[in-house]
Amino acid sequence: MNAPKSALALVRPMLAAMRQRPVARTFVACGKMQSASHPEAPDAQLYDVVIVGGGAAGCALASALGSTRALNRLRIALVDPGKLDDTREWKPPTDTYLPRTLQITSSNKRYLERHGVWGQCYTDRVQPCNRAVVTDAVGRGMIDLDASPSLLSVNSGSVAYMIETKNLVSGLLRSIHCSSTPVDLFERAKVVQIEPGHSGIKWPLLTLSNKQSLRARLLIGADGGSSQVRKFAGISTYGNDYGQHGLVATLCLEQLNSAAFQRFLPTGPIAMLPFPGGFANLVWSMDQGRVQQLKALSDDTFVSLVNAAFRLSPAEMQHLFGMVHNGCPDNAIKAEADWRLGVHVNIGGDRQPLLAPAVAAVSPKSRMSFPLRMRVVDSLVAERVALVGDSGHVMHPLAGQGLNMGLEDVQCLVAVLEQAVLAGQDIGTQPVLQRYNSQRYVRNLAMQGVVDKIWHVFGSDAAPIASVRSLAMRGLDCLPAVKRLLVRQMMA
Amino acid sequence: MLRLGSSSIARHRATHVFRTLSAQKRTISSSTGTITGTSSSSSTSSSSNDAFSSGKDLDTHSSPSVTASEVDKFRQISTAWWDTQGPFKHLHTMNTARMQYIHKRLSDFKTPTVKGASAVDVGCGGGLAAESLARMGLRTLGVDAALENVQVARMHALEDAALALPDQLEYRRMTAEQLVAEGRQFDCVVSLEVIEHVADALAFVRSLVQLARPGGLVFVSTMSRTAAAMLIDVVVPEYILGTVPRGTHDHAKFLKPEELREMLEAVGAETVDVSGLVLEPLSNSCHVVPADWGLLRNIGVQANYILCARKRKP
Repeated sequence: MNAPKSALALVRPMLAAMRQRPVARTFVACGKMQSASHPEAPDAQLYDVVIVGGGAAGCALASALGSTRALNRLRIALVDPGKLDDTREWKPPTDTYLPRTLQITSSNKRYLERHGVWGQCYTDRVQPCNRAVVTDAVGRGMIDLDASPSLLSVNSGSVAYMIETKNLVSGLLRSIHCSSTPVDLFERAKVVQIEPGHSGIKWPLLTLSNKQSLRARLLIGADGGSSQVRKFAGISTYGNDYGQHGLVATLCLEQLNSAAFQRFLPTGPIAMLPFPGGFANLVWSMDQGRVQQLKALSDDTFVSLVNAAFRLSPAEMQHLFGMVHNGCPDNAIKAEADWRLGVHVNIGGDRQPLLAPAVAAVSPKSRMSFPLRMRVVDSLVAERVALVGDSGHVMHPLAGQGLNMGLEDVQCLVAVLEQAVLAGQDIGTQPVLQRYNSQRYVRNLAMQGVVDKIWHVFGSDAAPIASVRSLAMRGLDCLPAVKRLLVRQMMA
Repeated sequence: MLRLGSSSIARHRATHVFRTLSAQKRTISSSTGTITGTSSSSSTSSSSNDAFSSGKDLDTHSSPSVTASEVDKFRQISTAWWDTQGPFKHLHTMNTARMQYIHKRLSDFKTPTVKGASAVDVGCGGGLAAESLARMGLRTLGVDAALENVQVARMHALEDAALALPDQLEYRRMTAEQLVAEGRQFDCVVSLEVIEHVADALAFVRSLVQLARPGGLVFVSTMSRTAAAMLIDVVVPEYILGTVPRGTHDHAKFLKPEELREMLEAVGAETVDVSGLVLEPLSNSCHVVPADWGLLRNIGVQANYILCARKRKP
């Protein structure tokens, strides 16, 4: 509505000092009234949506809210402890890829394209992937999911896209920067405290480390697996730690590759995700102690072990791990691994179909690790709080679904908020938020359940389980119609 | 009489509340000067059209459209308006669908919601619809015959900063006839689930249409006088489930869409659309459905329906 001109003139100089861009918003005239009735937080800035967490999910939500026309009257804030402008201005390294990566499904990629985000990313650093080869070391089962033949008819892009996390986040930040609705970024600001509202305005009050305070009509927790917002909302979470860590690294392959390879070892799955230019991203899950030992190895030894993990039998891998554990010198381990790989070649192993390409080198200093766990929440919403991304669900990366679920959360929440705003509803109330929860909660739980079951099924090296699952894999591999259906499901 | 005594105490409390509110409003209006109005004034109305002057609550006991017994039904449970699990649960469920319908019709007729079109909610109750209209951007006035309802609505509106702007949302205790007597006209007149409680439906409809400016829209939602409505809106909620207090609705007072359409025609408003509101209790949601489905005429408006009419220009 047209705020009276003279009220704006009174308040604007005061606010211009506090904000980066002049904002003519409906709360401008109301600021004075607030201070009269709420002395406990006289300088709290009022926002319709405050997103805590500037990771992929938080930035995706901010970008989507900023580019939806029906929501252009909302005041939006994004709070992150990191340096968001540095991430926005990120210049990618020319000789390597970052080890933290994401897999984006094709429907999520189309969503990002529609909102102008995909164009803001460095698309030459994105690898479209149409083929996944999954093998089982113990039972020797294998599946080759190749979407290329069916793609020719569907004509809607690839099944999945491999992208570095920083590439996507910087693209999201660039799209936020030029979105039609301004999003106020509070960077380098940790959330020190969140209090529920008391008398009068019942909106939660956030206190930031830079002494600013915000009041949110709707508080979004996009701050990852150990979410502070979720703790404030009193949403309990439970799940198991897998007792494993994920070791990631950037590999240089001996040949160009655009297929994803995953092999289930009894110690944990190892996956190689393709990147352009003969690079690949390694995600190897194993016990925490082993991860630290492998991180300490020299680059050459590590490369030999990775090659071994994709080719040798579980017993040989066990022997190699034993050597690492006992502290044998690196060249001894490398020699042993190379000899065994040579034997493998001699007995015709490298002429096996569906073999992962050989790794030539690993990028120096690219080995990182993070703990793997599953976290399930009671609810994705609470009083004036909603969770998106990892704060609402954490799962094993073996299916690459983590951020895809987060992006689907974002799409659902934006649709629900759009519907609510058109009907003039208060977006922080339960009737609105429950619509989001009811749509996303079950889907997230189902995906987490599937991923967890896969981990349990393939984590066992008991012979009966191994033979059954390998039989199932081979059986599935022989049914092209079912595989095409699976691929179409993954793309939709 | 006990009732009068309690209402006078309530009125005293309300006046105190109102005085505080109007004091704040006067501070704002004195610092902002004149509030620029929209081009919604009609040629015949008085100058009080554009400025939302802080009006006084009026005594509604002696008013043709208001029956004391009907008003009492709501007065006693006035605190439960905003309890989403209470006796007004179904109104909350229907509110989203009704508001989406109203928003769509307003944008169809190019009524600028954000640029400050004016709206009145006659029989606003606890302010469910009025708050939504105000949040959409309309400058809303909510009127109700029961003081308790107006008080509850005012209290609830204080909780949302977006509604605290000077003329965004205002409540007054008065009837539609009294508002007509003041000569006010609005771009959008809304009366949801009220007409089944008034004594003289034709007089009420006349007041509603008089409150609209020529070319303005009038929205009425109510229940049809059919066997289906008897079952769905009276028997099941009141007698079987007990979610609505007994005696809330009198089936004899329900109006069929054709009857309402005729009444509106008689007072100079042309019906633009009638749509049904279908409640799904299991998923706690409500959908707007068209009146006809294929060859089945009026199948969608057998129970709850919402009607949009446009006042004819002279």
